[in-house]
Amino acid sequence: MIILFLTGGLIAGGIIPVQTSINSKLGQQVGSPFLASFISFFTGTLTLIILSLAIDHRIAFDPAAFYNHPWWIWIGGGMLGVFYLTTNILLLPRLGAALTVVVTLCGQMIMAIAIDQFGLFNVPVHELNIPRLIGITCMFAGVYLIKRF
Amino acid sequence: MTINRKKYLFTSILLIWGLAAGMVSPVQTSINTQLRYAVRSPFIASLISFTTGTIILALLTLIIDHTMKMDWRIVPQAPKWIWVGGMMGVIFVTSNILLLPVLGSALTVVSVLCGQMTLAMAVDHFGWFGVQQHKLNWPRITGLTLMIIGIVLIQHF
Repeated sequence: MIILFLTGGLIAGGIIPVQTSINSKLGQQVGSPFLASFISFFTGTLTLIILSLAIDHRIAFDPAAFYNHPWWIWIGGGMLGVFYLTTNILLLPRLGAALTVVVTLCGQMIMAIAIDQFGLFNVPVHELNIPRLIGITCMFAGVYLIKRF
Repeated sequence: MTINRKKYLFTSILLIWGLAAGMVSPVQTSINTQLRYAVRSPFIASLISFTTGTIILALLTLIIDHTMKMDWRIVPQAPKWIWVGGMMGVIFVTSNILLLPVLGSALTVVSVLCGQMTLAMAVDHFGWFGVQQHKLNWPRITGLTLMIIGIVLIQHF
């Protein structure tokens, strides 16, 4: 059973470089990386409307949630998603698929370690240790090798 | 010589930019998780995230390109698969939300990242989707192995 879920994770991850490549091609075709990002988000939105209706049988939610939660949860995820996706579309033709993926992974791991280290976003504190430092060094050595050759 | 240095500087800026984009990703996940609890559905949370993203991109496109028009003739001419990128984003976001409780954070991250890097190498190696071909070689395989070791170390300790 666990193999099945691990395969699910592999597929989900494998989708990212494929998506970025497809979006880059879309950017070339429509002549603008921003318009390409827009089309990608727009079709994603349509897919999610159908998915929410099919699985939850609703797309509405309790408006009281607006008062009980900080304002930035409503726009933060979308804003950061736009930055991530558009950056990927702009970088891929210049850096290649492997280097683009690998360098964003490094940023991802650094931020994940920082979130753990300082307990940001109410995550339990998990301090930096020697194996984690070695891990980060390995990742940067990997980026260097992939960039250099 | 100066051209080489300029190119080097340009690549360095792109790499730092990629780092910054990657740093944004775990923050986004943290925010979307809070949104998920606020609206009590992972799908509606994703939907809100995508809707605000769509609106922001409409504004951004208008500001930078001064137009949102595109040449509709590309629809029959261009390959069909260029339109499915958004759907793939949905699969990625939803899989992450669904896998996390079953596999735990460490295994989810490791399996997703391994899939990501393997496919990225394959895309470069075969030059799929119009990406410039870049053959696999031993230093690249070593680099990939180092990355996986690094990820496992960080996730394990």
